[in-house]
Formats: sequence, C-alpha cells, structure tokens
Amino acid sequence: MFNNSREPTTFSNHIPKYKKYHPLTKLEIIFLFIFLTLFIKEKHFLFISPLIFLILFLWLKHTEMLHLFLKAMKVSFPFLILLTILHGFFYKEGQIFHIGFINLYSKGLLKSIITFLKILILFIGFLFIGNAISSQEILCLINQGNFNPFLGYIILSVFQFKPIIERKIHKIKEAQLSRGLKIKGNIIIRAKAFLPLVSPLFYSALIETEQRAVSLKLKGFFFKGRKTSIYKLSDSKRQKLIRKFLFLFLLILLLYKILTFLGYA
Amino acid sequence: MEKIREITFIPIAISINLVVGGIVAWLKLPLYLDSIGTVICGVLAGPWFGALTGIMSNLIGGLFISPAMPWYAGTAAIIGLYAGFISKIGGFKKWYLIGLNGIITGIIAAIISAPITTFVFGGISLAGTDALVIFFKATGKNLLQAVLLSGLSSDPIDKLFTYIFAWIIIKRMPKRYVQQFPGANNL
Repeated sequence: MFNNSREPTTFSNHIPKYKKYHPLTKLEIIFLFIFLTLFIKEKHFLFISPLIFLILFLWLKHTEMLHLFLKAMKVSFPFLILLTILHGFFYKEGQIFHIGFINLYSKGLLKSIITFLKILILFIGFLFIGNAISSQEILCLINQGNFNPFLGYIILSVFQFKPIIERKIHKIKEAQLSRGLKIKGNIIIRAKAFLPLVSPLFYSALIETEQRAVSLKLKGFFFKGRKTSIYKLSDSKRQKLIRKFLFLFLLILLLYKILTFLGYA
Repeated sequence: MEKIREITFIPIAISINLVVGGIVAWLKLPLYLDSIGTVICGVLAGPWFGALTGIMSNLIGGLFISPAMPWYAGTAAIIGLYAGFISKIGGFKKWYLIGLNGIITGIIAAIISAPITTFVFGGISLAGTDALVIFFKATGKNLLQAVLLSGLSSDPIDKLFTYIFAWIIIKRMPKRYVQQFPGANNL
C-alpha cells in the first residue's frame, strides 16, 4: 500500500509568475496603473485604450492572473455597470433616444465608457496589489531600504490585526445580543447599539497596545544597526531591465501630464 | 524610544477604522463612522499620529474595502491632524466644542473630497451619497457643485457623530491606560 512513491497530494510548489517579481518591480507596475488611469486625457485615452487592454490581456495571461481577474469580475461587474449607467445622468448633451423618463445622451455614454475602462484598469491594479504583494516582501524592502522600521511594523500589524478584530467583533456581537442589546427598531435604538459594540474593541485595543509595546521593547525593535532577516528578496538582470523600462515609461507619462496641464498636448 | 505606545496604537486604530464599516452596515445606520479610529488616535497620540492613521487606513483600505479609498488619504490625514490639534487647544473638553469641531471637520472633509470625487471618479464614488449627487445635478448645479453640496449635506453629520462617539469611547476608557498617552491631559 505504501510502495507507491507518487501518492496523491494537495500540495503544490508552483508559484505563479506575478508573485515572482521583485517588490520594486511590483510597485512600479502599480504606479503604472495609477498613472494610466489618472494622467491620460479622455480624448487620448479612448484612442489608445484598445492597445492598453491588449497589452493588459497578454500580461494577465502571461503572469497567470487572468483567471483571478475573471473571478473578481464576476463579483464586481454589476457595480461597474451601475457606475456606467449612473454616469449617463450627468452629461446631458446630444440625446440619442428616450423611453419615458429614461434618456440616453451621447456625451454621458462616452463618459461612462471612459470611466468604465479606467476603473477596469485600476481594478486590475488593485487585484495585482492584493494578490502579488506579501507583507513579508514589504517589510524586507523597508528594512533593506533603511526606511523607518515602524512603517513596516504598522503595515504588517494591520494585516495581522484585521482578522483578529473581525473575530472579536463577532464575539462582542454574540455577547451583547445575549445580554439583551437591541439592534432593531428606529435609528436612535440602532445608534445606541453602536457604542456597546465598538467600545469593547477600543478597550481591548488599549490592553493589546500595552502588551505590544512591551514586546517590541524586549525584541529591540528600535535597535540602531543592521538587522538580519530570514527572508531574502530575489532579483535578476531581467527584473532590473524591466524596472528601468517601467521607470522610463512612468517618466514619459509624467512629462505628458505636465504638458497636457500646461496646454501643450 | 518614547513614542512606542503611540506607534503600537496606530495599527489597531487602522484595523478598527477598516472593520467599523461592517458594524455600521449591520446596524443599518445611515453614516460611515469610518474615521473613528483616526479621531481617537489623533486625540490620544497626537495630530501627526492621527494623520498617519488616516493615511494608512485609506491606503490599506484600498486593498480590503474599495479601490476608491486611497484617493481620499489626504482627507483622512486632515481629519486626524484636525482632531489632534483641536484636542491640544482644549476642543475635547466641552461637549458643545466637540459637536462644533465634528461639524467643522465634516465641512473640511467635504471641501477636500469634492474635487477628488469629481475629477477622479466623475462624481460617482459608489458611496451612499451618490443619489444626492444626482439630485443636486438635477437642480441645475454643475458636477463639482453637486458633489460638494452632497458632501456638505452628509459629511458634517457623519463627523459630528464620529466625534461624539469618539469622545464617549475615550471617556469610558480605563484611566490607567489613557494616562499613558500624551493626549490624556487634553481631555
């Protein structure tokens, strides 16, 4: 029974390509997403958006993120559609048709499409942040870059605390409801219920603060000098080249923004 | 390092900011109250720590809650700064001053947020006040005015309750712990 060395297992050591990037490359990619959505003028954006989306599609496919994107879109698509429809109400120029009180305007439609595409790009960016960047990487980058260590501590701690606090809220809810807390009724009754639910969170947070402060002091958190880390960041010549290229592209976008702001483009 | 207690309080305040929305939604309250941790941190730890809490809440909230949140990091920073500075000059000593400062914070937040909502999101932030924007737009105002008016009609109320709740929570906190923060003397 045990002579088969290839036993079925759920363990997989496959790491998707998007996770293998150096954290600085990842940060530059995120800035690229932000610049693309904020800096490009609407008339130019509509013109180059097919190229942007073609590159994004190929990139998502290459980095094995396409399935993640499609999965997330299943949830977010109704919101994006709602956003698109709402935009139609704002720009009342060039009526295309109207049925009863529903009017469709060409300017509103154009604005809706542009906003939809921009949010889609931003959405891919945030999907990338959420999946590709780990807290260990951020901390390692902050430590290697000689930034203030407490910035790394804050970011990492939020990732640790959030699930703990969510579990605490659940417990507080159960406890307060069993004690007879009223949560249904008019707005005053519901507003009154807010404090018994949130106050215990802050009280336990204060106790937690004291414990954390003591443990950080004991661990020499503010020790001035080089610290060692078990986690090492991997980098390569190809990654460095990609970073240089991305940096150049970000600079071009920044220059474009300045030129459009000054009215030259 | 003298500031260790303030630093350790920041991530907890950020986490509370991020999860308080869930409680508000569960109670079906027509408010956000998502800067309660920022205000408490600003009052207890000081204005700069309050500002940092606000910025980090919105940046990290972009990952957990809505991609729109990071754009309002500046607004959150001002909320934290204002709460910290105002408590330093005695703004958290009298109940009417707390209410007044809550309303002022709301007005400031609405003024700072309006251009962001207008120029980045085209007037729609997928928050509960989008219906108000449509209403004001229908009355003939331009988009920036409509967004500003919707903000001015909702933010001061939200921040008024944020300040009141923050004050009650701080007042009920055990003195032994509160005294360890520099802002304890301003209450």
